[in-house]
Amino acid sequence: MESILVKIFATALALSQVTTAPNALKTRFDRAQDQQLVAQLLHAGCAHMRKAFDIEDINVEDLISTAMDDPQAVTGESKAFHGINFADLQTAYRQFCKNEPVAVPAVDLGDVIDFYNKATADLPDHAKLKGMKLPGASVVLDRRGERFAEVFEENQRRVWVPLADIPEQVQKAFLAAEDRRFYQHKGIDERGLIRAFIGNLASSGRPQGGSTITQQIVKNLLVGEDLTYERKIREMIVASRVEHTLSKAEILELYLNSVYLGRGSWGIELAARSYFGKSAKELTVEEGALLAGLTKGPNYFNPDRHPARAQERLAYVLSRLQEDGVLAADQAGRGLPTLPKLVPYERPRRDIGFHFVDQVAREAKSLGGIDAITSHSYTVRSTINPQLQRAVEEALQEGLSRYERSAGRVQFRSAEANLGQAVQRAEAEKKPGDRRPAWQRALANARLPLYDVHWTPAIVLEKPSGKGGAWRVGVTDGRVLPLSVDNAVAQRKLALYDVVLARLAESKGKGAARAELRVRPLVQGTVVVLENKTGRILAMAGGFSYPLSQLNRATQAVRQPGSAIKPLSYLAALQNGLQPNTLVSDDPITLPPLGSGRARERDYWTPKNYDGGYGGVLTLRRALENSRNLATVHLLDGGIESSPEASLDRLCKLALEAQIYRECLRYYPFVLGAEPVRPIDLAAFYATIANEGVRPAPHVIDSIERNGTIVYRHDPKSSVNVSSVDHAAFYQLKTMLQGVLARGTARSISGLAPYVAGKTGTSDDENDAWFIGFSNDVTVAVWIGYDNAAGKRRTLGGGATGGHIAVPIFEPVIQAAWANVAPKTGLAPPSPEAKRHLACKSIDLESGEMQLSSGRAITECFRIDRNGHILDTQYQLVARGDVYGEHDSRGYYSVAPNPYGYGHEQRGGYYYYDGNGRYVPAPRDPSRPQGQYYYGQYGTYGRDPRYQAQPPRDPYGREYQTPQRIDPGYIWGNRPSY
Amino acid sequence: MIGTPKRYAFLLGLAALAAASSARVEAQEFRIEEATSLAALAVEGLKPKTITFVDRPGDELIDPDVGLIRFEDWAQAKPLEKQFLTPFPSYLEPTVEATVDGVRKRFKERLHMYVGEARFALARPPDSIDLASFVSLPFVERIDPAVKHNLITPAEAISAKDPRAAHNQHPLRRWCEARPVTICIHSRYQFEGKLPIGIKIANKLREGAKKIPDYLEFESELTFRPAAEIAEMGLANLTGLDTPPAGALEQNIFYINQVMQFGKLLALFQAHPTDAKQTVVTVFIALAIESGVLAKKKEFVKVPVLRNLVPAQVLAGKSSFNSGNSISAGLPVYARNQVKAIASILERK
Repeated sequence: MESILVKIFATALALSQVTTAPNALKTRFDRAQDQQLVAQLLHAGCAHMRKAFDIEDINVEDLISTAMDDPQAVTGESKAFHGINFADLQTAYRQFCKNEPVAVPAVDLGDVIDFYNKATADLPDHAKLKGMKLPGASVVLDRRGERFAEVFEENQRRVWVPLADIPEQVQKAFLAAEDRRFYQHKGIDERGLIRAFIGNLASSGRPQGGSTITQQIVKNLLVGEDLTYERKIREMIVASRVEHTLSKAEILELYLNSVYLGRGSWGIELAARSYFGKSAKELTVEEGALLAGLTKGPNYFNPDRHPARAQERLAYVLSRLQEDGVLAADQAGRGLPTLPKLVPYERPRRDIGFHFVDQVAREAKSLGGIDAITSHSYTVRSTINPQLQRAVEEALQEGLSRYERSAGRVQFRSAEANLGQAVQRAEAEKKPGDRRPAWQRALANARLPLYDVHWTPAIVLEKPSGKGGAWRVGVTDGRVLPLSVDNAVAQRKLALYDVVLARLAESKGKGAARAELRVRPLVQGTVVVLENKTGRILAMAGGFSYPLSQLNRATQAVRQPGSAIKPLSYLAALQNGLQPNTLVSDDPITLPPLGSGRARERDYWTPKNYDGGYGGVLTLRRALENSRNLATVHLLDGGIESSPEASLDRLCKLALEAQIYRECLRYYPFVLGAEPVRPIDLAAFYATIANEGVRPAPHVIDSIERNGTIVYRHDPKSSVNVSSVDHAAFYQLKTMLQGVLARGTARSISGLAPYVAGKTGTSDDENDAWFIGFSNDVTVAVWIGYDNAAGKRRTLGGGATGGHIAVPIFEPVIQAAWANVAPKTGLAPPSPEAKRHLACKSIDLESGEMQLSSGRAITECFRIDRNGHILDTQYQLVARGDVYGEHDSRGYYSVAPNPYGYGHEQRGGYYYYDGNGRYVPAPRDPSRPQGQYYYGQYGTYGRDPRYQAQPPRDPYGREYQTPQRIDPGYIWGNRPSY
Repeated sequence: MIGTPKRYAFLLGLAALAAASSARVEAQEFRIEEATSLAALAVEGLKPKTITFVDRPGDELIDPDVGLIRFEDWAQAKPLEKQFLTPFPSYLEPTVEATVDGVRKRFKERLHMYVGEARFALARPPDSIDLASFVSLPFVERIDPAVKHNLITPAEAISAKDPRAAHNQHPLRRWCEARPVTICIHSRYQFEGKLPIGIKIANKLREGAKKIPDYLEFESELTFRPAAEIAEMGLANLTGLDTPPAGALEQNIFYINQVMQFGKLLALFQAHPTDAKQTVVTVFIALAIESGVLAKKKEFVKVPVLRNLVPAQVLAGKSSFNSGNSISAGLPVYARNQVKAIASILERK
């Protein structure tokens, strides 16, 4: 390890060069050959310093000798201080300053050269600073133009301001405080450096840098802040070079824009705004002097916390300005100056919308072409509605917790924090007049890790002791409430002064308020709220809590939509001329592999209904309302196009046109939601339905400005018309989705049916639970599920359907939308364009019959022909004679029994245990006794000679399903259903 | 070298203070006998041509950081000394105003006292000494040739205009006035040895226009107090000797340009209790040093080399920068030399 003297002389070598020969500065010396040269340079440096300090006539050596002559020194007493042997300094002075021969050199110049060479290796490119624009803080406004968030890189919260916009006196204030000889020196102020060296020898406190503004820039932007001699050497050399590359004005501009001034502000412009609520160009000299004084220690001289210190510092800077002649004598030195009036500190702190703001940055890049929104100071007009955003986050967080509690999956790991020590400190530091108990003050000052979780922090004040005891917690408003802890692990682990999250149940009537423990859920979810007409994303929660996971599951994740994709098939069917009352079979069905070539048995696809049941005939409406898989798949068979493959192609095209997917993988499970989708795209599709075909482009940015100029604006024309489907079909679909709430899988919120349409979705094995619903104004998409871990999916558990766990989250969100976005209105009637093609009349809900029977009647809108006649397609897919006429308890209209005994819930049929251990109806194996529909491999139905003779056939000539025995090991049973 | 330039300069400045002076010893025949207690000053123990000198009568009052007594402690423990060795009996540590880093501040100027007490016997009866004749410039000049003096009128005093001396103004009269036998002196002492160089380099290093002077400038009143006045004042109580006073010479330094706030030299002449042919002279030297000066960089007192630059060390005469026989030699040397010079002059006259 090099001795400190080697380091000092290597530093002196750098200093000698930058002060005496900056243009011929060498960064490399040869250890063997250059020692004489180095000695000469040091000598020149010493001469320069003596001249700089005007001490050429002073016998420094004599002074050193006197200091060395310590009358109190005793034998053996060390003369070293800070690692420096003073005798060596004296020798070095003689050697390098006086050019005198010395018997034993104080320092080995070879070592000095080695150290210097090492320090100057790979010097940063000083030219980088030329024209450098530092990152800026952008402001994100909400949809009303109110400030919502700031976006900036760590330690780069600034707004760049040109030097010309900074008042000259303010510039001088900074120079007075930091670098008085700025305009005289060439990057290094040798006087300041020597002063700092002496000061650092003497001071045991924080080392001084003695750095010029140029050095500070080099340190902050290029060489780093290590407190090492190597860094000092690099800093000096690069600073010297910077002075040759940048003008003084450029250096000062860079400095004033880069320096940290407290209140989370980098650079003078943001500091001016933060402290004084004005722009830098409006600063008075006193205000500028206050900011200039903060450069030395923004926290120590913080005018908010230490006004007296700030005053003294201000006085210091003002006195320096007076000394410099910038201020008249009567403007300084008259006691403590009054601090300039500060505006209250608005901490750039928020507790909502973190995923949203991330999305703003991404969209600025993807749509606005702005590589980094933090590269400059932009003003982003976003689409967020803060009130709705808060409601969305609260609903999602509570909904996820509710799911885990109901599923018995709560896993309490630890408290959010323990404030035991903080409470002790608060007790010791009680301020007069503050009546709050110590725990309350400690809780108020606590910074909890989950800053965007909207439950109430509560501190454990009492643990139950014995029977009948209760947990009691304190909350920030000072109340002490009973806490219900319904988790055994929590009961065991929680300790005094632990902070937990709780939901407060306020007192009702005579009942007292109480707190309910809330535990961080493992399950995840997302909620996005879209404005139908514009595509503005009004609110978006990308997960339970941003600090736990920054993944935005609304825009960055794809998940299987399950039944939530079904409206796509029904839309295509309606456009194909089917009506909501068209009857469709809900019988088992097997589809052969797509394309030509030999098919293997495992390539056939046999979907199942969610409940495992099947059979019967039902209207399109009821099939969608109740989310029947088999009925949906049956639509492929002539409901959309003439063949399943053609139907699949049509659905693919429609999905692409509606921009649900960027590409469509042709496989049948697609129609039941096997193909993962982004929640935001699914939301946009539902908004398309609400808009009768106009697909809005979801976006979070309306416009971006820089320096008052719009640099990006969302193009309202980016909405696209899904032109392959007409308004009438969309409207019909909308009314069917309204029925999902009225009496379908979302009937738990049937009260909202007049105002909302929507669809639940549950993917295979309940890995995903969805509900997407829309009102006239907004679409809300809710997804719940576990993140895939190591490629494995985790089920939400039996019964965890969209209807059960996503719908309860949707409900408060849509209520909040009505409160904060647009009032609740009944779903709009058909548009004029749709109305032209529709005629609405009351029909029987279950049968779809236009003659009302004793059943439930609903008003259904039918597509009409050019003559205004309703196109009757009720029996287009199912023959009238095959309809049994009575609907069962589930509301399914049954198909007539046949010799093979099929029908829904065929208890006597063949069932098997699938791979998940569930008892399910069997799929059809062409190689086994027939029992269900079978499509020929080449698009020709019923061509398989083995079944040609098998009666009976359906109206389309297809074989009916026949009950069959099922081999428990039957492999098709493992195929997924959606 | 020490500290920031400002500190550094200040240190050297103080070092210079201490180093100055060569209280040139003309009275070669007198010698100093060091004493460690006031009891040693008992007249019975006095030896011919010997000055018994004590400036550390006990460690219990000494501030160990600087080797001097805090003014407050001194005033409490030695009320008589406080009464008679300060510029006037009601003197308190002053509240001063100073601009520190641009801020005009009022603060109590804390002081540390150097108090030396010496006693010797002159082989002359009290009535043979014309004390009033010593109130003269030549007498002062002979005490310490290193210090240059000139007579001034009270109106010429700097102190009247310098706020630094405002609190030293006598509450009942102007200095140098209203006393029958009084002269007013302006004095200047140029630091000696290497102290001026140190101060010069410190001034080169430091920022700002204000420089540290490499000299001490002071103003004082030298007056004669007759026996009646001494009796009236009770001044003789200070000596602990209850023989009749013959008179006293008193020099009040009411203005010093740096380092100190005031100084007093008091020589009390009393009859010898047993020998009418002798006169007992008790000399007090009190110097009030600004505590802020002493506080500078106390931590270096224990660091070899650097401790040489610490003001307290220089004032204590423990620095290699001490030189000469006057103030630059440190206060203990300076005080002893002062007394020796006075004794010698008195002996010869």
